[in-house]
Amino acid sequence: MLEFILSYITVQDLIWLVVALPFFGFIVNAIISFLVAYYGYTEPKGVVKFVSVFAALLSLVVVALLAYILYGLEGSAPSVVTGPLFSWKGFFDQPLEFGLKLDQLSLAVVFVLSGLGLLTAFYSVGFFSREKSVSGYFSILGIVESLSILLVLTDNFFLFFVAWQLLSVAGMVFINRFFSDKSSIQPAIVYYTAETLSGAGLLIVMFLIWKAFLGYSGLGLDIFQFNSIQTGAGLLLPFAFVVCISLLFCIVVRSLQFPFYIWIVDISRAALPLYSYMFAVCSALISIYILIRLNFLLILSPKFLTMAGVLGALGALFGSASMLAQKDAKKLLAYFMLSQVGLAFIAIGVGAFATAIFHILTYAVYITAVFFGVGSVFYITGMENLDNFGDLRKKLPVTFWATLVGVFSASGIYPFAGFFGKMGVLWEAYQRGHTLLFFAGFFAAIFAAISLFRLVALMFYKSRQRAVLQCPVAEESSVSMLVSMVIISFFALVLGWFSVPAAFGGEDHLRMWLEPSMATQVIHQTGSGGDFSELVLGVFVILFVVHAGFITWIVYVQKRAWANGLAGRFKKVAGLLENGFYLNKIYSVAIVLPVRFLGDKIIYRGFNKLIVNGIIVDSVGRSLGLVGQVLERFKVTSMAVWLGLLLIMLVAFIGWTFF
Amino acid sequence: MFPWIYKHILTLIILSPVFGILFLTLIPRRDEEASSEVAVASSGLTLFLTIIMFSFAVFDERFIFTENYEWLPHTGTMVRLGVDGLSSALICVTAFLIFFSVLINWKRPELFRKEGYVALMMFEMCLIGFFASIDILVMYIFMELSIIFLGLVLFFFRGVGSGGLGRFVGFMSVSGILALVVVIYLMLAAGTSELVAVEKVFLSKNFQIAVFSTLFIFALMRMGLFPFNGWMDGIGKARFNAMILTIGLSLIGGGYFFYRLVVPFVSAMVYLNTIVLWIVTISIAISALMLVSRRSFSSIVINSAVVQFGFILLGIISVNQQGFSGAGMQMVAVAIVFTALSLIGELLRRRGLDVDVEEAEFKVGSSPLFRAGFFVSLLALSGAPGFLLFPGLFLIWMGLFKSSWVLAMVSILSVVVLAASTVRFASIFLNKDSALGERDWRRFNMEAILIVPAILILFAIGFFPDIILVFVKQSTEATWKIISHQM
Repeated sequence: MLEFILSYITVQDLIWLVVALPFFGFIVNAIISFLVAYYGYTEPKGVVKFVSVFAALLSLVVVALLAYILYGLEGSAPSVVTGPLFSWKGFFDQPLEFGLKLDQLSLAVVFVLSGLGLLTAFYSVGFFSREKSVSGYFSILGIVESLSILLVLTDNFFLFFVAWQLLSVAGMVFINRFFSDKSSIQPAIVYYTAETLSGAGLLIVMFLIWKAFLGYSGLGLDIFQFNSIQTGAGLLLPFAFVVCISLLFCIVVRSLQFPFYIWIVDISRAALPLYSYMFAVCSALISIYILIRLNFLLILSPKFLTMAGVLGALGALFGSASMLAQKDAKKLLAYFMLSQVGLAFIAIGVGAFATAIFHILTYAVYITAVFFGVGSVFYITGMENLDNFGDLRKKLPVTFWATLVGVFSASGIYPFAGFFGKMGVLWEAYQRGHTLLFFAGFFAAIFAAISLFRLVALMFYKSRQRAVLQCPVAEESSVSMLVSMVIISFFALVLGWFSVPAAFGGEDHLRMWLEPSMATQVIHQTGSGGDFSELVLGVFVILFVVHAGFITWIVYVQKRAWANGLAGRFKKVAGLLENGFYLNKIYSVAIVLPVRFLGDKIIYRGFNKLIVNGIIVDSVGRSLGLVGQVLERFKVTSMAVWLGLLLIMLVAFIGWTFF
Repeated sequence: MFPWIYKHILTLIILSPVFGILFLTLIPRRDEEASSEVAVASSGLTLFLTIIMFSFAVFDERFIFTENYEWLPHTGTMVRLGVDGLSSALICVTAFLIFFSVLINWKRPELFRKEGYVALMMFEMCLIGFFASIDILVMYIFMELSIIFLGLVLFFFRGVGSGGLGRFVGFMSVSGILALVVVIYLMLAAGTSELVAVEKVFLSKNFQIAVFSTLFIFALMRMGLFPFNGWMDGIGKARFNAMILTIGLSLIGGGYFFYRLVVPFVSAMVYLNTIVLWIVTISIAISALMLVSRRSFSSIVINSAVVQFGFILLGIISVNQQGFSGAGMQMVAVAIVFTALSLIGELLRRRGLDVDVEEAEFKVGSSPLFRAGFFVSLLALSGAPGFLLFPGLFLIWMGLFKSSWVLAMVSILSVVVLAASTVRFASIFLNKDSALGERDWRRFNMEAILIVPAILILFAIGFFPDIILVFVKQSTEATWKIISHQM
């Protein structure tokens, strides 16, 4: 079979196709969008949707084919690197070549990215069925998928950086064009500024790498290739902490971690399917992926690992605590993202890289499941505030069950996928002796479970102490949305079974699969706990999460007044949580206002306009004018006087020259 | 025929606008409408010759297409012409910009009278002459003449207040005098004004420091860097593409002059390296910070340009190969971005609309073409990766990182501030609900034909900078070889 496929097309060509197919969808839809807007043609919505879904489907098929080929390749560390698509000859003495690399790590991430890309496209077909024009949206979806896959497949830090920044441009376009409020400009600015800041961090990482390798001739052609960096990682030892901290800064900003998570809440009013795919899935996956890709670098700096773990713990706690009081479902899910990516950072902080990537893969699936379910309710009801929902369970049975499976998985209940991801993180933190990180993750999981069950209770169950649903509901969402929800819910259930720990009677396939992509020190670093301890810890976590979840559910369905009374009694705490600890206001006062004041009042109006232009430049002009006025009073009109002056000057010149 | 053209191609390019100027002066006032045809033909001829030059160009020597003409025989002064990769690219961009400026104003004498065309042709001639000179005296004369004609172009474009024009003239005059001091000193020291000889002249360290400081202040003034940016606000009140033309070409000229004349001052540049790097970096940071709360579109474009020009200077004074290559790349790339912005702005004006330079209101209608054009140009101007200014910036940062990582980080943060300020305007163009003036806009296929390729070029060079870099590198490598020999 393998020989048959490879007789028609090379592996290298197939890898390019994974990126090229969604890009093709983008190009076609962008051209349609332009022609429709410019010439006023009627939009062929069917063609637009077909192109988008079909391109994403083909891309996924190619990824599946590549997985099959890679699995069949001989050798302990199978990976395929393409030839350069293009190169920059003018930059260095040797050309900088851009290619793609497929190995176990990139394949695992690309599989999830392209799969979720397809489901998002299919889900969007129904979600945007009422829109007059969809080509713009689907073109952005295409470029986001293409760039995300490129980011994961690139073998080169430079191309990674460029694609990373282009993705933020696509994000800015998306926020501006598909925002439910009129005031999309401010969120777009905040988002793009944060992304540029993140890019600046990445640039500094690149320059540090370059400086470390400067003058070292043992490396190959390209110092920015991941392979080259790995080969010369030892040279980075003196810079390791600075490099890792810059990288951490960049990733923390990009993956919405504490304390840079405010913009994800600001932009939560963007169109839901792509918002979910781009910000919840792609940003998180790519951020964690690049850290894992550079695992050989991270282990050079134990201080960095500690910082990553602490930041992750803070993010997980802040995010999950902020979820508790959210009334807006989208904001609740935005904070959920923060808490879940925080868990991945905890895993990285304790050095459990394979666990981090596994958690983030399961996270991508279950958060998409929850988003699809919630998005379906938004689509049907046209509302987003949790206080307006209720009693939708019987009217929307498929949406309810799909959302419930997503929430079970997201809460970390056995045997759903989320359990294995979260359990892995908590277990690694515990067994490697990071007790504080373990408890931070544990409480974050509890808070998240409470909030997610609250969401389900408010949305789908009838409260005995509250008026029934205020919005009319006729029927379920469209077929494409329902099918997407069912498929993603299925994966939110079963994905974790690929990597069941031995304590639960399974085999950790993913860890074994990823081993060739990890540094030797990472593979052999394990803790002291045994299988039995893991089992006990697992049961302990499940019991707490299930209890917390079901108590929440009971309170919100049966005794809503308790919850409302509690919120009323602790109004200030509820306000603090609802506003995400007022971090955006702190930023505004501590950074934005001072920078504006410095730029506008001090530098522009004070220094530039008043001192430099007003006093220095204009006073020179005024002085010259004054001199002119004075001279005008003594102006000489007689030709004889002029000739006399000329004569004197001539005599003086001759005298100076000859004597 | 062809060998003759090959031999005198630079003369032909420089003098080609003269034909247009002669015809334009002969056109009677009542037939003024015909001046459009003449101007298009003249600038088209220049562009055609430039393309021919490119097709013949094989950079097997440092300067090719060299020509020498005696000028003042008794003093030994000659007009020496020749181009390398960088200057040929800049000539090409100049020819394109002027051609498009004229083409877009086709049959609009009410905006662009024959005097305006004459001034523009003269400006083109002098600017190309400046880029094609390999004699510092001739280069200086062409540079100053181009500034004079640029002032006339600004005058004919209308819209520049007397204060703005006065400051422009004032700053240009003072910087011109400083440049003259440097040219005279170098000529006296070398005994000739030939660029190649001047580059190799040995100068005592104290003199080097004094004259290099003069040249450095000239560059700061010409490129509008803080604190010599007083004239920029006045230019910002000019009509949009007049403003673009001014800052786009004449200021790159300032950078180019600095690049050519800095070679004999290597010791001074190394000696003063820290202080000049700090000055330029702070200047860039201040220009970026001044953008933070600007509400005027022209302020954004001007100050963004100043930041980018600052990087040209920063690349050169980093005194390493990456910095030099980056500066060269940046000169050409900035010129291309300004060509695109000028093109879009003028096309908009042709519709009877305008980019309101005072307020952040853009009457671009609901046209996706103008929205996309402005959006992409602004992103490119902010140095966003994937667009054409980024490769040059990246090289400059590499060069700067070698000299001082603190300054590199400050300058990177300046670009972040620049991006944050620029994106506000980019978002206004992009936002679906912005009140963008008239909704019932007409379509012109010519607009699509011009703007779509401009957008694609801004992207294409971002991904394939070799299109420019192979030319630029030929120049910067040769210059760097001389500098490293002197070091």
